[in-house]
Amino acid sequence: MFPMLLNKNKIILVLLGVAIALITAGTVSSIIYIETPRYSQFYDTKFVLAMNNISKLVPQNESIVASDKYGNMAFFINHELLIPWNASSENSLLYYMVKNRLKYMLVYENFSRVPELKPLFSHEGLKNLNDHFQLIANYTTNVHSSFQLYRLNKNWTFQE
Amino acid sequence: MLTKTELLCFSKCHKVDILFIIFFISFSIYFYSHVSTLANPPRDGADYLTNARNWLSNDPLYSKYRPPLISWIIAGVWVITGENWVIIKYLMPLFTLAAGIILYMLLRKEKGNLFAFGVSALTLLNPHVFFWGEQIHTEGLSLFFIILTLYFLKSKNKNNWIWAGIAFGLTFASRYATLVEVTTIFVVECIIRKDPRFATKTLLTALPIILVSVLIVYLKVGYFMAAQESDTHFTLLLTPYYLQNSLNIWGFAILLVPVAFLFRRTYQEKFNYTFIAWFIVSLLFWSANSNPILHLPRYTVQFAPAVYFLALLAVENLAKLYVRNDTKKNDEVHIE
Repeated sequence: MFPMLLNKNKIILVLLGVAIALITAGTVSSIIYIETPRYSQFYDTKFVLAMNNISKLVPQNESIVASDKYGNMAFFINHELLIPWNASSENSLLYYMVKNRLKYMLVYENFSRVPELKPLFSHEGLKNLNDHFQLIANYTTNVHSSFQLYRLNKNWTFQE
Repeated sequence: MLTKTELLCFSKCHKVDILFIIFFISFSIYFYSHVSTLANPPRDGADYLTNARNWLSNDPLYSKYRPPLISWIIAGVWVITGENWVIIKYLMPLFTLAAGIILYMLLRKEKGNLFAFGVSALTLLNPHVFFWGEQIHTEGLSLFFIILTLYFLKSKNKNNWIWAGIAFGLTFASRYATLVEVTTIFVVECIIRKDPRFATKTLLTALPIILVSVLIVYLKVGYFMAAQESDTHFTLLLTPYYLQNSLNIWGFAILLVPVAFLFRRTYQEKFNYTFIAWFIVSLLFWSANSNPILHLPRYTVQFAPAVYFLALLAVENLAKLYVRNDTKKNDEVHIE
């Protein structure tokens, strides 16, 4: 009877060990599956650096017109980000910026909160941006398309 | 001085506890090795961080429908350390780990060390608990407060109503949607305890905390919104999403959950009622949301312990059945 029980206990222990090993292996592989590629932006080491650099390039107290904004951009850029809701073309965007005395524009390439401006903020559209906008910096991260910082041409001066 | 027998008994009783400690330390190291690789907060996490900044600077809230507790905790830490998101990155996963410990302590008393170890380990090892619990998200935080509420509600100490009430209120402030889960737990526990004074006192503690949380947000924002309008549509036509993806979400353990419901013993132990109700109500609640964007595995984090409790209960019932049959057989052999 006793040796039989011992064997049973051994079998249970082995089964438990196998179960723990299987669960652990399953967890590890599942976590890797969740992390990449679905949530690879969480591991993008270049994003915070790009946002910090953009913050440094724009003088304090200056708001930035942004093609899109989400939590991460809003947190890491220490400037107010404004979506040009009423703009529908390049000219109306320019008008919006001049009217509100906004000198800087941040474009998250291919992303626009304003549907009408989507073609303008696409890769091709940005190539044809007129002379009123001067490219200051362009950052490409591991995951995001690219972030381009523009400044209104220096010919534009605002009365204080 | 302990005698040899006492020492042996001590080591035997605490063998599983020691095993759990070893597991927990190894798990924490592995968990934090993943946390250290995070280079960005998730979008929601960035919203909580920005809201924390807004609370401190007295600016309007960036994301108005977000639950406030996580941002208050962040703001509180930043008052001491200065604004630094990396500190928060390492702080928030602590709530997930703490949830695992409290779960172990809660189940250890009633169901034994091995059972508690199983449920806690399976919960912590769930890929979605692991992944969302390491983020600056409300999943880990609200899981912690749900389990804490349950811990105090299950406590035999009659004076724990105050802690149960506080934990109940903070569960709501940590994640609005968990009100459904924590209320279910509270109602079932009230029925089990049959102690109206405990229930009333707990509720009278929880309600002011809930009301104050709502009022503070209302005063800051000008209105109170618990969720985006698009997220609040419910339907009786339940989505099969969670059942279809159950293996991916909970692993093979989910196959044992229906088995638990087949045993009479499951319904005989009152301790199990809360976990049964927690599982059923949560599953129905999340399945009833008509917005397909909101059918996500991460919403199952808040009731993962209930799933693994039922899975382990099935194993326990099967083991007891096996032992009973084995004893019967041996008795028959002896009679012969």
